[in-house]
Parts: sequence; C-alpha cells; structure tokens
Amino acid sequence: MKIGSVDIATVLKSRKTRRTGLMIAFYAVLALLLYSIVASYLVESDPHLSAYDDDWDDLSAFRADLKGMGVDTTSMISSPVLLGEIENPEDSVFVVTGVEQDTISLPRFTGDVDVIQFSESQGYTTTEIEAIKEYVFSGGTLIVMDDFGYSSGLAEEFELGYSGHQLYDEQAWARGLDYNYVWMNSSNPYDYTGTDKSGSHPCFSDADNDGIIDRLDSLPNSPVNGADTPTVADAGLCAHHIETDSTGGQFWNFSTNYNVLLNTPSAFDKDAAESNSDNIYAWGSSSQDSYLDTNDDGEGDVGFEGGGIESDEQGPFTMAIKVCEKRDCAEEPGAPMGRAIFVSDGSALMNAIYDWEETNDGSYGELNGKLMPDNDNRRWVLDIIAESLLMHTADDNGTSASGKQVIFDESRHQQTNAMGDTYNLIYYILVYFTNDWMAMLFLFLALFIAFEAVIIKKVDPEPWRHVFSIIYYGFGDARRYGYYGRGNKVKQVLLSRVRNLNSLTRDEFDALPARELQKMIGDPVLIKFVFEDRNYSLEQLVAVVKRVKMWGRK
Amino acid sequence: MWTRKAALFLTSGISLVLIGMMIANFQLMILGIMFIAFLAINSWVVGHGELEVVRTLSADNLYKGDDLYVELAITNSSFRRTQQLEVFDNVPHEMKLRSGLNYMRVNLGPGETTRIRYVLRCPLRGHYSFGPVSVRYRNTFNLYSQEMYIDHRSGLVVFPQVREIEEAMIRSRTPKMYTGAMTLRTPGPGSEFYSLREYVPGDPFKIINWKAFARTGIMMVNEKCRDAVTDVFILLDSRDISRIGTVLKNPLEMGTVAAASLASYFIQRRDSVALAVYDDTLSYLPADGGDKQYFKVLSSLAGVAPKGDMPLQAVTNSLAPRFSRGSPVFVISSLEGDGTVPHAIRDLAGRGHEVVILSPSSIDYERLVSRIPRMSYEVMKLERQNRLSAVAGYGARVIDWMPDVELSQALLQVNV
Repeated sequence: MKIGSVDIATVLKSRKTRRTGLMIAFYAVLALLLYSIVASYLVESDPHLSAYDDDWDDLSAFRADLKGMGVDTTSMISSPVLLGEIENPEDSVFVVTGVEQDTISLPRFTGDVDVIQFSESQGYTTTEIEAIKEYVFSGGTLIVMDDFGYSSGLAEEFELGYSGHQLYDEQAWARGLDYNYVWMNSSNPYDYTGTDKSGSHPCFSDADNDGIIDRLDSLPNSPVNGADTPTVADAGLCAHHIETDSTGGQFWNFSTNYNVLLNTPSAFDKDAAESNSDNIYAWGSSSQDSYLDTNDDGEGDVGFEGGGIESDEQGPFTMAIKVCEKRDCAEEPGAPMGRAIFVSDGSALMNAIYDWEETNDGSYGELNGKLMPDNDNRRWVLDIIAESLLMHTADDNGTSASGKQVIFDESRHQQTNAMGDTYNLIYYILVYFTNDWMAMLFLFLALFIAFEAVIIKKVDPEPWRHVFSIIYYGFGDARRYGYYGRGNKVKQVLLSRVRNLNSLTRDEFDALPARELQKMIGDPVLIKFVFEDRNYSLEQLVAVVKRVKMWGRK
Repeated sequence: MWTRKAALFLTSGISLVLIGMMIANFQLMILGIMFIAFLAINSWVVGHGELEVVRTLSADNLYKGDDLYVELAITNSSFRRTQQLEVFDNVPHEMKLRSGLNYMRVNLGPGETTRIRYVLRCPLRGHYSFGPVSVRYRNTFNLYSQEMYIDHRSGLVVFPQVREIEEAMIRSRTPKMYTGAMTLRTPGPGSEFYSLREYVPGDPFKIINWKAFARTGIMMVNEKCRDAVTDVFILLDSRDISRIGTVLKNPLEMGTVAAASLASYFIQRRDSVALAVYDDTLSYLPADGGDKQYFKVLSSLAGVAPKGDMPLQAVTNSLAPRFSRGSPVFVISSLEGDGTVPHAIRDLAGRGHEVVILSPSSIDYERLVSRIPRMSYEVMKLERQNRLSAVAGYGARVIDWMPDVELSQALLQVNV
C-alpha cells in the first residue's frame, strides 16, 4: 500500500520502524510496571480504624477520651521497630487496630541453626514482632484488635491463633442493629484463675469501701469519708468510672462486668487460645449459642458435617485474651509487668460503637432508624489503659496521666493523602534498614557498592589540553606484496620491459615470433625463465629479478 | 555537574547518617548532615561564564611549517566574580603548540580582562578554524563544575610550502620556452616603446608625445610593444591513491608543494598559470597571472584532500578546449592506478603540448609506513619503471621523484 510516494509496507518493515516499535513497547511495559507499583501507594483511600480520622469506623472518640484524661497520644507511622526506642515502656500502651496491609521484608538472620530465615509472616516482619515482644517484656502494654487482618504473625508469637472466620451468635447479637453486631461477655475479666484480682486494679481498689478509690482517697483506710465523689478532673485515668445516676448525682462505678459490642467479629482457635498455665487468660468470650462460620458460607450449619460438607463450629469461643508475664497478672508497684491483650475484632473501639451516644445523635451518619445499643466498650478499654499505666505506680501517685502515653500503630493503615503511604513506606524503609541486621547488611553492601560506583563511575571533567594529532595512512595491502612475488608477475614485468625498450605496441609484441623475442632478450637465463613453465624457488626468483634489473641497463 | 568530590561528599553524608542511625550514634549522624549541608550551601555559590572573548591571529594565512601567534583576550562582562574559571581555546589538532598554553585558570573580577598568548606551528596545509572557546567554571571547593562554549571562531589558511626552483628550472632539461613576459613586435599594452602614430580621438592624453607634437605640429602618440605571456597548465593528481605514505610525506603533499612552487616561479616570471586538481571531480582555476592568481592557486592547493579516482584522460579531454596552443602542461601524479595515463599523455603530446610529468614515487612513500618484502618492492619498482618509460615513450618528459629528493633536485632529473 502506498500513500503518495511512501510505501507503507516498506516503512513498517524498516529497521527504524521496528526499533521505534520495540522502544515504545519497552517503555510501555516499564511504565505499566512502575504504575502498578506506584498505584498501590498513590490510590487515595479512606482509612479505617485510624485514631486520626473521625469517620464512624475510626477511633477519634477513643483518642479524644485519652487526651481528655491527660494521656499523650502519638502515632507510629513507620514501623513498630521503633518501640525499642521508648524509654519508659511501662508508661505506654501500644494499640494495634486492624492491620490492613502487609509491607516489604527481607530474609533475616535468625541467630540459631537456621542462620537465615527466608520467609516472613504477613503483616509484621519478624524484626517488628521481636521489637513488639521486647517492648512487652520491658513492661509495655500491647492491645491488638484485629479479625481478618494481618495480625496472625504477631498473635502466633504469643501462642495465639486467629480463626480467620466470622463469628455469629444466635442469642447475643444486637437486635436493634443486625446479626453482624455481636456481644462479647466479659464478666469480671480480672478474675483470672478463680481469684478476683480487680481489687488491685487502680480504678477498683477501695480498701475501706467508702466509694472512693484508694488512689483518690485521702483516708484510704477509713470507711468514714466526708469527701465527695472525685471530679472528672481529679479522677485522671479513672475518670470514666464517674457516672451520673437518675437523680443527677455522680457515683463511682465499681462494676467489673462489661458488655462489649463487636462488629463482624472473629474468634480465636480453640487450640490456640487461653492457657492459664502459661499466663494466657481468656478476657472475653461469646455465648453458648455462638458459632464460627468455619466453612465461610454465611450460614449457621453447625453439626451438618458429611458428604464433603464441613460444618460450622459451635461456641462458646474466646474473643479476647490477655497475656501476662506473671501469674494472675499480679503486677506490683515498682515492678512493671508487660501485658498483651488480643481481641478478635478490630472494631471494638470504632466511633460508631465506642461513642454510641453520639452515634445515636447522628454525629457519625444515619443509622437508618436503628439505634446503637448502650455498651461498655469505653469503660472496658479505658480500664485496660488505666491498669496498664497505673498498676506499676504506687498509690501516692494517684491516677494522674502525666507522663503516660498511648501509641497508635498507623503504619499498617492506608493514609488519606495521596503521598502519605509513600512517605510512610520511605520512613518504614529507613527504620527497617537501620534496625534489622540483615537489612543493615544489605544497606551496608549498598553503601559500599554506591561508594565504589561513585569512585569508579563518577569522573571529574577531563583536564583540557591541546593534543597534536595527525592521522597516518598507509597503502598497506599485504596480499598485493605476495602477488608481486610470484614468478608470473616477474615474467610479465620483464616482457613489458622488453616491449617498452624495443618501442613495440602491444599488437606488434604479441605478433612477434618466439625466436625474435629470444633474440631481443638475449640473456639465456631470462629466455629460459620466459619460455620454461616451471616453479622457481624464492632464491631463484631473486636471482632472476636481479638479472631483469641488469638487463634493462645493457 | 557534580564533581567526584561532591559525589563522595554526598555518599559519605548519606552513609554517615544511615550508619549513625544503625548504631544510634548521633555524632555520626550530625557529621553526615554537615556533609550534606556543606554540599547544599556550596550549590548556591557557583561561578558564571558571562565572558567576552576576542581572538587575534598574527596572520590570516601562512605557509606550511610557519609559526602562528595567537592572543585571546577574555573579559568578565558580569558584575560578579567568575570564581574558578578554566578557559580553553580549541585549536585544530593538526597544529603543534610551540610555546605558551591555549589554556588558563583564572578568577576574574567584574570587568577584569586577561590574555592568553601562545604560538602554534602549522605542519599541515589546509583550511582551519579556531574556536569555539571552552569555558568551565567551578565553585571554590571544586564541588560543582559547569561547562559552556563561547562561539567565537577565527579562520586560517595554511598554504603548501613554496620551494625555490629558479636555478633548477634554468639548469634542468625542462622546456626553456617559458621565458616569462617577453615583448612581441606588435603594438599593444606593454612597457617597451614600439612606434609613434597620429593621435586618434579616444587615445589617453598620457600617451601623447608632446615633443613630437612640438616638433612636427601634428598630435602624435607613443605606441608600446605588446607583452606576451605563456599559459602554464598544472594538473595535480588528488585521487585517493595519492595519500600513500605518511600524512606529512605522501604524493599529494609533495605534489601540492611542487604545484605551488611551479606556480610561484611562473607567476613571478609574469606568465599565466592554470591549475586543475582532479580527485572525484575536476576543479579548474583558469589561467591568469599576478598576485591575485597566486593567492587563488595557493588557497586552492591548501584545500585539496585525497579522494575519488578520476582518470587523467577524463581530465585532459575535459580541459582540451581550454589548453592554449603549445602551452606547457605539468602533470603531478604518482601515475598509480590509472590506466589512461599513456593515452592522455599521447593526446597532449599529439596536440603539441610540452608535457612534463612530475611523479612522486608512491612505492617509496609506501615504504615509509609499510614493510614491503624486498623482492616485491623490486618487482613493483620495475613495473613503475616500465610505466614511466612507456609514458616517456609517448613524448612526455618524466621525473621520478623520490621521497628524499628535494624538488629542485628532482627537476634536474628529466632523464627518463
């Protein structure tokens, strides 16, 4: 096909076109690859379970309560590896809610016979998990709330296992909402092994039973106390215990029973749940009528197993677990004890449930005529916070939140702004590569290579100087020299010489009789050379050439 | 552009920061940050290349082997210092630096001027261009450098050398018919007196012979003898094959010297000289005399380069109508690789031209760069001798010009 004088087929088949096509294809594939990588970090998304956002499914109300109590709230956006940098872990709580994304990880040194571990658990890297464990062993408190996310690796380190299936409860579900909202029963969770230990909880301890907790009681051993119920400002980390009765009077709520509402919860595997002998205590559980949707069909088909159909598992299931370093989580003042609380639902603290009154007022959007039921989620979690931050302090420290902090793990949440995740990733890489030994080794190698590359590749501008340069040519054709060394060529040169010196044309010379030619040459050696067809050695040829030269001068 | 030092500073800075983070050493981190900060601050303090440049050459054209004096004046036309400035005058590589340097490092203040002076030797003929001027400016710590060019150029023509051949021409067996300007016994423009004649309207007043007018009462004017000149034709072989040998010694280079020398000799004798250079095309300079023609011939010879393979017969056929009757023709060629030479010479000689062939021995030039086996060399020489004798047989005077023989000596050897 031709357009004007241009043959399209020829153009398409041309080397230039093919090269251009190849280049375009290469850069297209490269751009696609880059886009697919970058897109995962540039997609603007709405974060869930973030303490720094105020949607119905975020944790802003919980964070606001903490701040109201005087607790410092911070976030960790790079990596939990930085927990090792905290100076007073016993005065901090690390809250993980909903591990939404995995992150990069490298093989790592194990320090045992395996030497190197090539595969990492999802969610957190082994280095991060070890940093979290170290943090807990140093006296810190870890709260992990997750259901189907990436917390399993972390839970396994504490010998726990998330089932990964949704839990339904035929009886204990929020009837004002729907069956996805399930109640978790947490009746006196401070009774770990049959002994009620709530008496040692800073917000429950009331030795003289005067209704004022010991830490706020000016006369902790006197049942007669003229003082009023402490104010919210005085109550510090226990302020959530101050409630108002129907007459408008304030009282201290000493109840250790919690009705915790969860949304689409999961549960722990029965084989990897509480173990009192290992100081792993059940902290809350579902009812007898609950079942775990093991076959993930969304149906409650407990007991109908067979014919290739797997049935669901019957409850009750442990939905919250507390792991302590000491028996009965008995922490003494001055001797901090780490603890880890795992909950099989990430939404226990989300605004819609946690701040149920505001939810019903419509602050977090419409509930389509439904009402969020009254729940104890706030009291439940704030008691955990109070216990964690106050137990190791003496009574005379009161319930002040001064110097206490709650750290929210935001490193596994999507960020709201476009470059937020990219920033987080860079920050994560920086932290990861300066804390993990294998990563440090890689980093060191990369730095070494970078140094070498700079030294080898980066050259200073050439010093200028004038170069006198002229190109030499040669007419060298070695094959030509061989040709001039052959007998026939010598013979041809001799005959040309004879013809020239006798002033003969080519035709005259060709027509010359042999006898005449012999007469012209005169030299018997040269005559023999011309007329005898035989091979001559090099020495013989040299001698002949000498004679030819001499012949011309006769 | 970053220098290696800057790159090392940066990698060191980053490394120190990272290693400091690894081992939780704040001193190292601060040191690293200092490195990076040092780089950042230095990036603000850079020089500039706002310069005015003027180059002065001692000559616009000179002869091969002569010295050229160059002066480059550099003026900072900005209101700030240049910082470390490197100035390099780009000189053709074919020129050799005799003294001075075409390079300078300066730090010029506002409006300040400096000069670079250097001397070049020009061992190769040709048309050359100086410039542009390369400028490189760096900051004080040599962390960044920037390069630029100032497009200031100067042209130079290097003529081939001209040898003195007058004595050789007198003593040689080359034709003696070129006697330069000679008076003919016919009236015309010239210098010698021829006769008196009567004035006719239109004659210039300055040729009126007033004494004769006073003596005879008739207005008389002086008539001069016409000066006759000989047209000399020089055919220079500039085919690709003429590059045999080294760049300084090859048939073409020797041929240009011979052509320039012959042109100089004949033009000084007030003859007219025509020059034809044949390579892949034929370039022809019509016959003329005087300094202007001499300059044209030298300029033309300065620019010849070996290329192409035009046969001599094509040249002679093409120029046949332009050859003056009986004028001498000089053919400067190695006679290699051209089978038409005998026929071309026969035609020229047949038309009454006195043909002189000055043939640089290409085989001997080849020996300068290539090791030729002795026997092959001898056979090639014999073949060349055959070729020369064949051409001589057609009536040309042939000079076999060996590389180590001066032109004046070679011209004495018309004995083939």
